[in-house]
Amino acid sequence: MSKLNTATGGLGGLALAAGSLILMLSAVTQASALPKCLFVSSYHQGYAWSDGVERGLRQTLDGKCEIQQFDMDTKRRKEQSDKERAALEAKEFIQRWQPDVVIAADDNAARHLIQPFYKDAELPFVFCGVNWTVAEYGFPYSNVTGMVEVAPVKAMIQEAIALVPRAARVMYLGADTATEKKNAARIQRAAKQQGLIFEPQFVTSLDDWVAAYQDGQGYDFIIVGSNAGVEGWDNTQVFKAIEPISRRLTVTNHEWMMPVSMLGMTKVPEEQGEWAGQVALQILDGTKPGSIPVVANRKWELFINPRLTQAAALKLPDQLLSKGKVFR
Amino acid sequence: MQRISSSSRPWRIGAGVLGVLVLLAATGLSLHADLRRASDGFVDLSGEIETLVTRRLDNLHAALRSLSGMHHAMTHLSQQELSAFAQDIERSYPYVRAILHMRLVGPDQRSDFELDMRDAGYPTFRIHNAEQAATEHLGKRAQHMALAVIEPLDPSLARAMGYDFYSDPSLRSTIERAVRSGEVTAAPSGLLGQDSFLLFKAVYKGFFVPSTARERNAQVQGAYALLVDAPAFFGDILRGSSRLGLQLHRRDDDGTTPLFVSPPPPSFDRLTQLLPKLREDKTIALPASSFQLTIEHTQDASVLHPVRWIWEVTTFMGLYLALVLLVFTRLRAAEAAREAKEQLFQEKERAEVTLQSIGEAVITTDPTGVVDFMNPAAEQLTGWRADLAYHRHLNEIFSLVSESDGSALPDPIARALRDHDESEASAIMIRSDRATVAVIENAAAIRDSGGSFTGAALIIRDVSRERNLMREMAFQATHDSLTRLINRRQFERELTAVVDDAQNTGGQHALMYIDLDQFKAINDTCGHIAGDQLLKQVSGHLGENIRRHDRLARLGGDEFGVLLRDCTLDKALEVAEALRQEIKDLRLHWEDRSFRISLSIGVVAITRESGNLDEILSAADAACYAAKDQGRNRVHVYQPNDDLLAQRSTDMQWLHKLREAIDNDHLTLHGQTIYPLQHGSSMPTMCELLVRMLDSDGRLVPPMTFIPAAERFNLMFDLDLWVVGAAFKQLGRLWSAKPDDHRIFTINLSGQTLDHPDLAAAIRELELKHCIDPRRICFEITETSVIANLDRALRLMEELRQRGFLFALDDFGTGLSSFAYLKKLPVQYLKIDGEFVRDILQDPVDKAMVDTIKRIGGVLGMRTIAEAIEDTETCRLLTAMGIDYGQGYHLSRPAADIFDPAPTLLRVPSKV
Repeated sequence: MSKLNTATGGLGGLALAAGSLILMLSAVTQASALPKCLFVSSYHQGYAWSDGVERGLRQTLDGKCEIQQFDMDTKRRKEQSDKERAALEAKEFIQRWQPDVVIAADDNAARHLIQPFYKDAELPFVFCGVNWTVAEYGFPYSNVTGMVEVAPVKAMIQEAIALVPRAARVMYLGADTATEKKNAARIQRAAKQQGLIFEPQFVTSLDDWVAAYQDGQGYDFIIVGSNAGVEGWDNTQVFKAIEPISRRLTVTNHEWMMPVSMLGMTKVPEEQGEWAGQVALQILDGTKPGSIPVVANRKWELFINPRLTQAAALKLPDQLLSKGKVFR
Repeated sequence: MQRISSSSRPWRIGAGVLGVLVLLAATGLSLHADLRRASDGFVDLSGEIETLVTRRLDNLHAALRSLSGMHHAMTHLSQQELSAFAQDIERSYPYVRAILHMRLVGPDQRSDFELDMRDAGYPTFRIHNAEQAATEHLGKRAQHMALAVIEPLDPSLARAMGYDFYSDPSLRSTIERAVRSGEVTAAPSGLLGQDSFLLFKAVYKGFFVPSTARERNAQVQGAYALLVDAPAFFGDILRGSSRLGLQLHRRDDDGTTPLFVSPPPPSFDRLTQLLPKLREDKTIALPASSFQLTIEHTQDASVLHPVRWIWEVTTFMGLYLALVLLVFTRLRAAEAAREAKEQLFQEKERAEVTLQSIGEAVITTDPTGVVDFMNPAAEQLTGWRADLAYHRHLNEIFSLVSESDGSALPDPIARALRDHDESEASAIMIRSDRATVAVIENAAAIRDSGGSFTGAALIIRDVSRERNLMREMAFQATHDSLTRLINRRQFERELTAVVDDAQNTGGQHALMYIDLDQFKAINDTCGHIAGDQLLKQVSGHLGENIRRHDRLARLGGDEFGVLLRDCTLDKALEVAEALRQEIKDLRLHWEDRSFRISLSIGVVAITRESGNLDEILSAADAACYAAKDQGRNRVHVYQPNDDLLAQRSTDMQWLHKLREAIDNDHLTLHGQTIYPLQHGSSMPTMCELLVRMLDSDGRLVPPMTFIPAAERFNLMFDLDLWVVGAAFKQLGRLWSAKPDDHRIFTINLSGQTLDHPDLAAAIRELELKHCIDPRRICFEITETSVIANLDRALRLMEELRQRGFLFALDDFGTGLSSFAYLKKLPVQYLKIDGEFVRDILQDPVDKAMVDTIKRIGGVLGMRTIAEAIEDTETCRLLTAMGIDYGQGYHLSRPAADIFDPAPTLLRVPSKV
């Protein structure tokens, strides 16, 4: 079930005292004077990526427009019908609330909401978190622009090769989701450019993930994909399971996967939210969405998980150690 | 308060005009100072701005050089590293909007480059120019300087991704210059925003910047640029002043290219428009690039400080006024000094002219008596020329001796000091040539402001003429003017002394009374002139035949007296006989006629037993009458028996007649009119009342017949009182009948009458009785009678004067010894004695006397009346001399109809 979060959610407290009511009315009056910005998240609050995007977005739009958030919750409602239903609910909400601009985060919102209902529509859309390419959605439309989510895949593979000079085989371990498969395809292309044999494994459960990780010890290094979609995921449990068996370098592009990865070159979800917010403000200021080109994110962080590297007896060069943030 | 003279008016006008100019200048200077301060402040501000902008540009250059250095140092500068660098730059220099990285893309590289960029997350990436949309494909070019990185990227800049900087010639030129020089160049941002400018720094292949331009051109790989947000770059500077304008231009060989222009805000305020705009052009030279920073400032009213103006203008004006005050004070002082000098000069001139012109001699000396000044009068008086007298002691010029005894008088300077600085003294000046001059000298000490004695001033008046005149008057008072013998009064005075001597010492003296026989006949037949000549000749002979120390006097008419001092009766008889014989033998001639004349002489011895003065006089008179009675031409010695007889036979006869006339009103009043002499005078006509006695036949007896007897027997009071009573009675009637008769009537009062204690009361009684207007009654009293008893006469006169009566001093001039007493007498008229009038045409002394009396009367406010006017010439002369009234036979003879109201009497005769 989709969930609606509003910036004025506090209005639910109708039992507030008369003074509070006056203050709220004042707040409503003030809010109503601002343009309306609807944030449609493909996922749910509590999901690290989505939370980062939301954080960046709200930070940018705070005080500049009235924000309503619609979570499609498609990480947990994986069925196609659920996704489509969530998109319809979002559409209904759009029709009901009449936002001035809609910020849509991640692929499911682009696929199920923008593409089918708002191609070249009047209502401007700003997307973000769309992985790698917008070609499959036909973006940009005249009313759509945004930021593509790219991972520093090439840099990550180059760094791994630098650490494992004779690497020839690499395994990709991710959830069995479309996004992960899309990511894996993208990484595979980069790995091939480096002359590596790339073998992905997609799992749906924690045990499968640990088992696959075990298999991965037979590769030169493992690229750890997102766990979004892996049921029963528990970082502590996973860490306990893999710490004793870790012998190979593991790298990831997802910060939230650093508890179970040794080296991370991770995207910054806030960048997606911030860009989407800036573009939304430009649109609200009169700029046509079509005149703002689609761009890609460019920020990423370097993380090192010393517990796992120590467990694997992996010695990292000083240059890398001095540059990478220690994940705790 | 001293007034500034008209000569200072131009100064005042000049000072006023100058004051206005100073005010304007002070205001102008204050304005200039404000503007200068503003200008100086602007220059300072401009310097600070220049420093700040220079530092900022320098920082940006440094940042670009760092970026370039990092690029060259690293084999691959990742997007992430560039982003991190951009964050630092943005944090350090907030006005850096973005870091740009351009890639030099050859035509064969463009496709792969675009694909790579699309694959890197820019699905619409194309190399394009400014005119083309970011999504449109750019035509084929030789090389592109494509924008590949914008850090930080924001949506407004995102459309610039892929922009070919070489598509803009200006930008291309700028970048190529950066490539050639290896340094930073600047250009307007163009596509990237109107309010921004770009700083370019080329990067090359290899780790180092190639050393030559050619190599740099060959090895160029791309460029980095800083997109500078100009409003942010200058924002804090512009916020410092709302009226500041800034322009930043790039300077190169082609001239200047504006990078940022922010003109000062326009002003619609009139004052602001009037104020000059401030502008400073600064050149900022950095390696391989030069900038022109133009700073402008529109001044407004805030640069003006009226309060400070007021202070400054007030200070200026205060200083100016102080200066003007100083100048004016000096001018005024100079002018006052000049005026004082001029005044002093004028006073000196006046004093000198006065001193030159006054009749008094003025001599000043130093404290020791040495002469240092003499005026012409002093020269004339002393006989010394001033230049010769200077530096000589006063004693060398003259000396002063007592007028009375010839003794030397003390030094006048010492006397002036002794007598409190000023003293006056009569003296005889003995000149150095031994000539003497009667003077009155006044000496005064001269002292300076401190009171020190610095000299003395002597004012010496030559009083010789006055002295002579006084002597002449004194002589006339004691002498008979005709014969030059002493008169009766002086004779009686000397006789009194002799009688006193006889009484006191027992000395023997003698008195002769001489009467000319047949003198009346001569007088009547030959006229009084002949009579006078006779008298003069007789007196001369008499004088020649008495002893040297005997005293001859004319006692009146044809009567003479001789006082023989220390002379026995026998000797007196001897002298008397000699006189009688001398005159008897004398033949007197008048014109062609000759006369013989004889003397009747009465002699009386003056001894201790002779009695008093009156008795001696009476005895002598009786003896003389006895000689006449005995046939004339003889000498009769007084014997007591003879005295009684003679006295009874003469005086008693007249005494009886006069008494009878008074008691029975056998007296009558005539009047002689006194006319105003000055033409057009409004003075009233006067009329002198004259008493006449009627004898038994009704004929008039002249007063000289009975008046002497009246005087001798003290009947004058009764006689005068009768005259007063009769006059008042008739005047009361006259004025009652004719109120417009304004004549003033004069009534003679004798000396005896004046002495009478009842006179005032009697006159008062008669005045009231007859309703008399005292203002038209004038009492004539003789000068001699007044002087004889001055105090009593004064009291009487003052009493009557208070009631309104007028007074005339009769026979004035004959008895005077001094004019001083005139000031005391309440007299309105001076009747000049006929003795001075009769011969005034011939005798200059008489004329001088009349003139003197006239002037004295004028000074004292007294009218002058000349009597005895007997001819026209005399009348004219007196009129010309200014005499107020005239009386005499020429004008009017005494008449009986004086109380007749007929108008003819009031007419002024044509003879006047």
